[in-house]
Amino acid sequence: MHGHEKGTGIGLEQGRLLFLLAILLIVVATVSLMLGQMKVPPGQIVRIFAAPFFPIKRTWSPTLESVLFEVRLPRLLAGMLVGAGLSVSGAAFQGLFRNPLVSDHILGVSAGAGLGAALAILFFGNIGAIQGLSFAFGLLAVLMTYGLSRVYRTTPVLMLVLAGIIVAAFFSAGTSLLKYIADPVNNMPSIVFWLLGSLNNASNKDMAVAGPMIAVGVTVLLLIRWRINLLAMGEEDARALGVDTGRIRTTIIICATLISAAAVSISGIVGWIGLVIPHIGRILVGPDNKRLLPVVTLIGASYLVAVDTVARVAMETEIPIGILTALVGAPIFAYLLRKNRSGW
Amino acid sequence: MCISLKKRWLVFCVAVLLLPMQSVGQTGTGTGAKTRYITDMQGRRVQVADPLERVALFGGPTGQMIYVLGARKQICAVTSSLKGSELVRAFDPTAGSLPGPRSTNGHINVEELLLTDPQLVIAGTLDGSIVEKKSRIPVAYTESTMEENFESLKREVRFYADVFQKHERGERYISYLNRTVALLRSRTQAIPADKRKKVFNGYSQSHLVTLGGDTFMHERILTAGCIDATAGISTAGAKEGLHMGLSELSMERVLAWDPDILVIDFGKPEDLYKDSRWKTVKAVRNGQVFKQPVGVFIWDRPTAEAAVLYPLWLAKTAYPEYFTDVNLVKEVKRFYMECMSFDLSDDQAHALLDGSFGIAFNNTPGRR
Repeated sequence: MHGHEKGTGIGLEQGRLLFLLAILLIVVATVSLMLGQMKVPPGQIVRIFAAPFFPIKRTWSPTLESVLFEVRLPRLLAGMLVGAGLSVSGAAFQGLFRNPLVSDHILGVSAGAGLGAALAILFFGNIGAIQGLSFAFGLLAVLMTYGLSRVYRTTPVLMLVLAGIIVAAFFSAGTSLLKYIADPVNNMPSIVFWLLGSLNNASNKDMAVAGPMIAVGVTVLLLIRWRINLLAMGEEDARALGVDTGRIRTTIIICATLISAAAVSISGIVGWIGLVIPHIGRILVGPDNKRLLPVVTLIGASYLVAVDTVARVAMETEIPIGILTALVGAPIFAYLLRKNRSGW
Repeated sequence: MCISLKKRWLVFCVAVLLLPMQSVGQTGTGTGAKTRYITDMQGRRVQVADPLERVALFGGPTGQMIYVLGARKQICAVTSSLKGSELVRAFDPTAGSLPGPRSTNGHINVEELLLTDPQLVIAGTLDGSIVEKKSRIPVAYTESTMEENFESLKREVRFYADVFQKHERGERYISYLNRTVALLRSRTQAIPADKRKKVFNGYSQSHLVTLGGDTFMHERILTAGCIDATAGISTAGAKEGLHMGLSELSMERVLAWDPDILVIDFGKPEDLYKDSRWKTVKAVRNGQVFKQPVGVFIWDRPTAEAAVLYPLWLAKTAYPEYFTDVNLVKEVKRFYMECMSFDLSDDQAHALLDGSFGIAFNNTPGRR
């Protein structure tokens, strides 16, 4: 689009770049598996992972096995999926709205999910309800945004953004109200901790439900990535070429919503990823979504795993990951904005 | 003539000088009222009306002090959570209609507070400074710290006893506390180190939010003869939202500790027995997951009731063989009767121990 026909922004071929990023993800994931509050020698970890496939004598405790298979592994998978999912949906939204400053939460999904979780904590008090309601309310918020934007038929994209702001404001106010009236002894800390975001809760069971949803959403977005480029031409031009922009837009919104709602239901609200990672991606490969989305998927996965590793290892207590992603993300974003005026 | 004019002038001058002084005296303490000085928990001397008949009491955990001291009639406003406590509602139905101008830390409806016409507000630093900024009501500050221990609790009780002039009731509670702590220490000191049970309080929906070894909880766990899993963790300074002393830990740290007893405040123990992530933990394998009891307040806060009953409950739960003569239902009934004049039924005592008492807040039902 801007003269990057084959090469990338850093002079690497697309294929080689993807290969390097995949290696990076593997390295980050391996390091993440090795680190934790429980100190385990790396050799031991390798043996435990090899044990199901090779005849190795089990000299370790069941607790150690549990730490690796029930805690670190699901958390690693959750980090990769949530990181990749939020980054890709962020990039897709930015393509859809033709604006690089749009985040994956623009249609109110996280505000809706937050209210759903707060309601579940207040009235049901079990994890299933928290995940179910946060997912349902995330979807509900986006549906409301979408419905509201269709009131006027003139400028749907602008209306989507405005409707998103309205709906998000409404749902956030609902969450604040619940926090205000919630019993400050039991319920309020739970709501506060949930809203801060954490992958600490990610279990194999959660991954079995939310994992496929995120994976499907990411795959569909990757498959239609070249169509997202068509939206960049502007609605009228695209329509003149016979492209059904409405359908592409709906597909993007459905996939991104599914991803965000599923992500929020397992990790709470993790911000900034959908903004920072696509931006880094654009510096590397330019604004072409065809090249951008795969790159963003890999970087997003590595990034969240790395940040989550810091969140669980850096201090004796967990650092809420929502705080870290904002703390790390905001300065990176500011730096990138100033340093690189990458094409868009 | 000349002299009398001078005299009149003098009288007028004196009167003008005295007037404002008198009016200051009036707004401060009421017409011709007696006053006295109290020393608040932060060491400040506060001039208050004597007797104190209208006190506003803010701060959740300390609200129950009015029942411990039998000072309910001297209260004109409380924090909302006290009004919501099911236990309080059962034994003091009028508490529900007390004005509750303070909901949570920092949220005070000053107008509602002024309407109750308090002679004194007792509050933590944040709430107290708001009251001082927006009204002329005298404020006595409590010490809002999570690093409390039995000694600082006794100081707190004595401070409140002095405010309400209920020294005898204060000492009655303190001696009850002393007796309980002495009983627990003498019974549990014989337990050999390798038989001592390790306790982890896992709160919130993740069961991973906890009170560290530098909080009041540490002393309570030790008093019950148990080992505090979080002994090496500091959370007293942590402030998540409006809550102090709580931090989230990572799952594998808890797995590494492998606690014998797990105390939760969210969901049911059965949920953990079914959760594969928890399956290797001793407490889960041995069916030793318990829901935190809730009295006037949940027992994981630095309250008067929890100081006596949490260690007793934990000790009996951890070492039933050392406490065969202790019946928790009876002990709970005895404590609330002797210290708060709440005559609990057996059913209520059971509900309290099961953690099924709730706290309704602003008329929303409690979760439990």
